[in-house]
Amino acid sequence: MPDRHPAMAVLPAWRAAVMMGLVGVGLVAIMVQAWRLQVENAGFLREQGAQRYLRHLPLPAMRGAVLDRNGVPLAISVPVKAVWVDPQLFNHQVTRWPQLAQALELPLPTLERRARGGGAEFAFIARQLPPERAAAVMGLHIPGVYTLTESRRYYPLGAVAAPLLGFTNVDGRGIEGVELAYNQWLRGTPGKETGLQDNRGQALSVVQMGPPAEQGRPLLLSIDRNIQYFAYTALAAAVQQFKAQSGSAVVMNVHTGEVLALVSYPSFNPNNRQDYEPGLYGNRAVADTYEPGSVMKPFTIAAALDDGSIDPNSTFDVNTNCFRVANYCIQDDVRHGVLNLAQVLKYSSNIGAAQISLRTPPADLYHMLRTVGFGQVSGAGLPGEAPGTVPAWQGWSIARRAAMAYGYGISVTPLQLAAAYGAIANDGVYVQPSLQRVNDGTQVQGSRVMPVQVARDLQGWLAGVISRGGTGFLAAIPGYTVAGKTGTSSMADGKGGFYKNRVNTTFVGFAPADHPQLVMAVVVRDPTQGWRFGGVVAAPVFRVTMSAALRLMNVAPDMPAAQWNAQMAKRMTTAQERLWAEGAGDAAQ
Amino acid sequence: MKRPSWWLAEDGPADTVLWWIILVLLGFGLVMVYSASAPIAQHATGNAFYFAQRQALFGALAAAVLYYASRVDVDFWERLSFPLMGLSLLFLLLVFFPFIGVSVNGSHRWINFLVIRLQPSELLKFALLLFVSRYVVRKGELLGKFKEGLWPIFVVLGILGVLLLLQPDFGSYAMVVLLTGVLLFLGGLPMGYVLLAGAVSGTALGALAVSAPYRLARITAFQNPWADPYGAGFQLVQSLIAFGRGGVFGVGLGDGVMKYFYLPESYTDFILAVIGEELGMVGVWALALLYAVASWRIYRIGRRAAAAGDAFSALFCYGTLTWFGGEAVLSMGVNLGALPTKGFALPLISYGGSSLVFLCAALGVVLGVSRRYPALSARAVAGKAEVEHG
Repeated sequence: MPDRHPAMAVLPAWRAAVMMGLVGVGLVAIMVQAWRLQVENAGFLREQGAQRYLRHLPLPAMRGAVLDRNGVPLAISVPVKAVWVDPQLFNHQVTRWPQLAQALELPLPTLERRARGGGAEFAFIARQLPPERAAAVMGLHIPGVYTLTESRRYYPLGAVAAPLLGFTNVDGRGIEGVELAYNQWLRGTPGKETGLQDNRGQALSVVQMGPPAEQGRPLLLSIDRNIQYFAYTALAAAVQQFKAQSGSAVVMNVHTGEVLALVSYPSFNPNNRQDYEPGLYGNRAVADTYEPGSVMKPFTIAAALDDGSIDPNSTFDVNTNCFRVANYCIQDDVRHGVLNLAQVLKYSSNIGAAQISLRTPPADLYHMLRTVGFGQVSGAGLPGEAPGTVPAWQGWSIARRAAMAYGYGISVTPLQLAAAYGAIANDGVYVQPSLQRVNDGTQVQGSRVMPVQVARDLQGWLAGVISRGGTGFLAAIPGYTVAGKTGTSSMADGKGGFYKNRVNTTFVGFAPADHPQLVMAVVVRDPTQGWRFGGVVAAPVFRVTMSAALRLMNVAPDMPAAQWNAQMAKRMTTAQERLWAEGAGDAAQ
Repeated sequence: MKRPSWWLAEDGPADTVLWWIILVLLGFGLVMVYSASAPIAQHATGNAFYFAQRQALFGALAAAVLYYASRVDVDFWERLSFPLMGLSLLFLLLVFFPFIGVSVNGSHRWINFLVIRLQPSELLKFALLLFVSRYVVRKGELLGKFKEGLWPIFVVLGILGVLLLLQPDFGSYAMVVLLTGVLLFLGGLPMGYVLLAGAVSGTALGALAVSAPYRLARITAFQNPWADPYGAGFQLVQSLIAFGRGGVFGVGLGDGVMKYFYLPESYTDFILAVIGEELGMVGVWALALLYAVASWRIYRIGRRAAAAGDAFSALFCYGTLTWFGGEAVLSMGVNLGALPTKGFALPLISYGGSSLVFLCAALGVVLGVSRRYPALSARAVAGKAEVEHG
């Protein structure tokens, strides 16, 4: 049997040995090469590999919450999930798409559009999902569906505090308002960790822990959520009722400078950025300056009293239709006779104020305006705060001196007005407004800007403004005495003159009048409907907000309601009662 | 003595060492295919065991083929060599037909058999071993004369060249030329022809490589893959990093990272890189030693057949040794950056049913030869002598 091929007597054996030898040599060479790679060059190769498969991940840090003075959150970050798909895999799972759509509560066409509308390897299906929902989706185990962790900033008050708080961008950095001003404090420091990743960027395992993530710190603001809410709704109602362009208001504690509410309208919903309108984002209470008008009169009087140019019992003859200064004609709405200081304020006499100013050295008025905070940023620390302008006194003409007396030729912000009136209410001590909570019982350092007696006199005279026949009677609050001042100023047209029919209406006041606790400034710009006076448009906003704020801050009423009615309410005229009852600017309407 | 039939005819004791090495490599291959393919399988199909399950089926099939091939009458294989060669050529033609042929990445290498895909070039290698062995044995002395004995071989190589390079499958054709050349060389081709053939084939392969620039880039990239780590040298760089990361003892089975989409072909042609990363140099050396011992056993079986005068069986064994040992060296060398980057499957380890089954068929025939010419211990030799004298 073995000899079927006699022609093939014998194979050359040495050739087979050579063949076997070659294979053997080859395998030995393989082993040598393995040694060279895995022992000699291992260091270099590992280093090259580390550049590819090691990844240094940031550990996400949550941004700190913004809390109101009672610890109620105004802005909080919550961890949320995003669901994304790899279309290369997901497109093969069409039969399971309805399942996913149902789990996400998405219409199937929307899911299809998103799955096909993304990139070749990545498409977001749903973002900002609650973690439970994402876990349920992952429980379906559909190939090609993945999640990643995001954080979402949520503002429980919505539009009510939006211009004050501002917002964060997609990277979680504050870019407006408190979020910007206190970004350093609020933001966390991401930690680091080194891990292995696959070539698609997915983490495989953690190799080494770096510094852990430092969570952002909570920020306790001086804002009171409820007062903020009342101020916003009252202001919004006034702006809507009088078809005004915009409005803003500030509520401040006169002793500590704590800002309790700071509102601006129109506002925006910070929880839904889709209705983005840049014009809505400004915080008007600190960013918009305007010519305040009559609300400046108390400071004219304070400056004149302080330097002795007039005394508290001085009287002024305003019995003229036209008080001529240089080429200008200064007028009052109603012609009065001889007025004392209380009446100048109560009836808001421009002629009286101009006469006082003309008796006062301009340097002293300028100094008064500057020391109560006009013409400079308040220091409350909000971004975008405007300093306003108080022109240097050396350049004042006689006409400018007269106009300054009743609030023209100067521009201010609502926050400055509140702080300046706060100085009057705080017996002549100016306290810098602040957004940070001051612990109860802490004595806040202020600076004296006028003598105690001058401040006390002004408090009394300003209380008269709210009484019967005063311009601010709509600011009266049952059970409390209120002091304040109205302002109705023509809007500058930006060409050196004024619009004929466009005004800014202002009310600034504090309560209770004889031991003031809270001060509030309300500005409504360019109302176009109804009686466009500060006492009609802005004062009711003050009344609604301040009455709520006094109760919320546990300020005891000055007198029982019955006594208040006997003293105040009965003395109202029918027309006044009707207006009062209409509750211009009341939140209920 | 009457044989029971053409199948289950070889009933002598097979080479147990070779048996065990083949089975160990099959099992080890299955484990490594799972480890290397799990990330890709998970990503592409959602089932991490996708490739491992298939490889397990192929492995079982290959083991069965291995066993039955070892029991089939060795003479039967010799009779089968022409039909098998014809079948191979037919299949190689079929890959170009639509519906029957399957194209992956522009290469027509597979035939659809309903559930499984057959790679005809693997069948061809098996058939070619039988065919050339038989041819060399039949021609005998005439092999030395080109006009009488040698030219048909060149015709076959030419046809195969056209079919394989059209696929295109450069690597398989190189293997075909190598196997044919080795069998002619071992079959006693005069040295003059050996030198001439070496020169001609070397020039031809070189010209082919140069004519296609991407092949040239592939051929030169292996010398310094770091010159273009994200282009021509990409795959090799990932492979080298895997070996470096593994070090001497490896990072542990399953803990490799390069298989996570860094290393292309991680469970087929570049599976040694995964072995090197997870089991380290120790694993690579152990594998090389297993291949060496297996090759040695195959060589020994061939030598016994040659000593018994069965030139066909001997040549077939040597051919299988070339296929098995040669492809092992080539695949490992490519993985380690010692050879141009070209796809060679690691024998008995890499994923792929066709190569596994047909290599096991060839190894089975070798085991069958070992049954026919068993290695005799000193006592058995003495006993046999007694029987003959008695």
